[in-house]
Amino acid sequence: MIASRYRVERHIGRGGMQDVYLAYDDILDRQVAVKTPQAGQQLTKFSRSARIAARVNHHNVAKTYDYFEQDGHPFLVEEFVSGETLEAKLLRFGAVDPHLSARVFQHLSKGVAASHHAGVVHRDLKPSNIMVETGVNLHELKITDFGIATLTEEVFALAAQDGGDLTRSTSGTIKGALPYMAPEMMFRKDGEHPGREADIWSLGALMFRVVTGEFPFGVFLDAAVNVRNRTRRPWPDFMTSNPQYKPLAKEVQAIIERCLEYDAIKRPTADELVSICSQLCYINVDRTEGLVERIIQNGFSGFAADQFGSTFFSMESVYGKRRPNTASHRRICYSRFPGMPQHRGHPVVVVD
Amino acid sequence: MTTTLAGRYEVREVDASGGMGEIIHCRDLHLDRPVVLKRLRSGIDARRLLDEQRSLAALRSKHVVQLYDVVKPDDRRDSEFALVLEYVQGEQLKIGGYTPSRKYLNILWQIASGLRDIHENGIIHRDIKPTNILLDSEGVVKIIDFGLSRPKELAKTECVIGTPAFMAPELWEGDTIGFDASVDVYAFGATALSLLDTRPPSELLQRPPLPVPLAALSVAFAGLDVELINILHRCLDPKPSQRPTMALLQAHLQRRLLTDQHKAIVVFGGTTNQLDSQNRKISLTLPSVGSIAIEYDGNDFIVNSVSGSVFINNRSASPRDLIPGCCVLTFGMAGSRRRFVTFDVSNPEVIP
Repeated sequence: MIASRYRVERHIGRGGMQDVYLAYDDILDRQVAVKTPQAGQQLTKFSRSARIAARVNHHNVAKTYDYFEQDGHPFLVEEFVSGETLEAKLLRFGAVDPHLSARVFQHLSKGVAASHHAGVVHRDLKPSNIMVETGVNLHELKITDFGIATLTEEVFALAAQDGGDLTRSTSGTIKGALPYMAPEMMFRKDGEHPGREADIWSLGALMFRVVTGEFPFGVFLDAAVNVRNRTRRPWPDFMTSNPQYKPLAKEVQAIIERCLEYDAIKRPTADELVSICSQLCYINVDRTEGLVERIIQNGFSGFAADQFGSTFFSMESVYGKRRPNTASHRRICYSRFPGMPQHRGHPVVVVD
Repeated sequence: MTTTLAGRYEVREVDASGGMGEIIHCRDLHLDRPVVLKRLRSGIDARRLLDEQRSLAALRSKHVVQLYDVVKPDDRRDSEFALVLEYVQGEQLKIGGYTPSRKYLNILWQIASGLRDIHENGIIHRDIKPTNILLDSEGVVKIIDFGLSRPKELAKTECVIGTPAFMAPELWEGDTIGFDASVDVYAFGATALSLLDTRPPSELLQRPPLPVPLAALSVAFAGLDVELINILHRCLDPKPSQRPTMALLQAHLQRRLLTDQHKAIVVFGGTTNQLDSQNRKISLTLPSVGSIAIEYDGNDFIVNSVSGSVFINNRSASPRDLIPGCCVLTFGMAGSRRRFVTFDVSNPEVIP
């Protein structure tokens, strides 16, 4: 029990520099996330990042409810999203089809735009800093962990311990951030303060991962080398090989490319991004999770068992590298549309 | 000298004029952000305030102001609870401030979305009117002042508390009143009318309001589509049971906002065609097997004519059928040589 109202239920995560607990607020009858800095972390930084996060009020950003100190320990109380991180979702999805990706893009852009309007730059946007509800819909997206909004100073202090080169840092925080980090942040010179544009790059890199299932520049040190050498992974063929997905996939690719401009001022602002994404047409019908029960027509199509009974799908509708089967790739998700005798599922993604 | 409440809320401005409660604008010193404290004037039933607290804590709608905390201000001997609410940077909706435009429909859609969330959580607001609806700096409608709302099961009250003109006729009657969520639907209809820069029908200016003829309402709502005017007319029906649900209103308004915004990608053999508001019709023929003509009417993709053997998601196609979102059109009977066409409908997502 903390502050005689938050009943701690369990430890749910260890992000960046803090521990996160799921707790129940007895006064307001709701679940909350309680964060507290790990031993050895600077308390002033924690308090500053809490104040920064508290400035943003938007439904795509986790709300800050409370901040207090007890016995010299600071605690931050935040909105709790019952579910998992986008990182955990991506490990299941592999690549997310262009329709659901477009939705994710639009909602995250909104959250980033609201932060920027409040004068807050996140500086560490990555899938593990985004909370998503349970299931396969990716509808309720909340950006969290503005803890590293002070990343620049923090990171360079840490990098100094590792010999001065940020890209060789052994810090877990920096390693996790590298695949999404803007070049001006990675190769920052003294006195430079990467701003909002860095978030746009990160969002672009993040969306690259969402829609392809791959890191645009690889991970760890590879990311730094590839960003410096401007060698980005090519778009996978599966994005455009099906003409049903090609038009939207091309649009999404073009927006991501604009976010990944090396010249920071050429990137769209968050507001521009919101406006571009709001023009995207996508299939926005709730997703259903199903288990492949049989494959028919020489592998051309199949049926999946789900909460509605059975759903037909065509292999043509499958997006990504993995093909559904009755063995290791049984678990799939799709939107359902009326058909005879079974509904038809489309787009189909393996989520095993 | 500044006053600090509950050890952390520094008083900036007190507004005692607000309906049931005293509104205190404060700065939260812990998180360095503006918040609104709300408490009842002494002598007023505290039950109402706690009702508001319960209603708000139960909701998780982007259209409802966030409740951060409940505190005892401790600056008075008869100290009572005060709610600590998110400060919304924005403006009240302006009476007479709109013309029947897309912007107006978007505002109505957002209010309807918020009321739908509220009703689906078993809560009745009871005091819907333009001054209780804010438009925040991100363009999101926020419904405030739940001072009069209470869970549905408590919807029996001894006295009439509400705001004339927006108050449903049944609330004007008698001592013990049983009412339901349809009082908010009535108030929504009156709000929709009051936002327009037209003269409201005289029936609605009466105390209590009189039934308003459809013709009079059509004049006041000139510029809106007939179907919407009919629904709004039903909102203002003196019989609560005749009023539509907020879910129906929200769905209808959303449909209006999406009119002419859809896109269909039609893949036939190797060719891709796009149908949209610029290109509404397509005819597909497989010689000696069958043909189908489909037209986009701005809301739906409709089968105009069909001949021979054509199936939509395996169901025999007939004129006036609606295309079910995503489907496969099949030319030819089972067992014969068949051709397949994919037809995928998408649209931008309406979000605040």
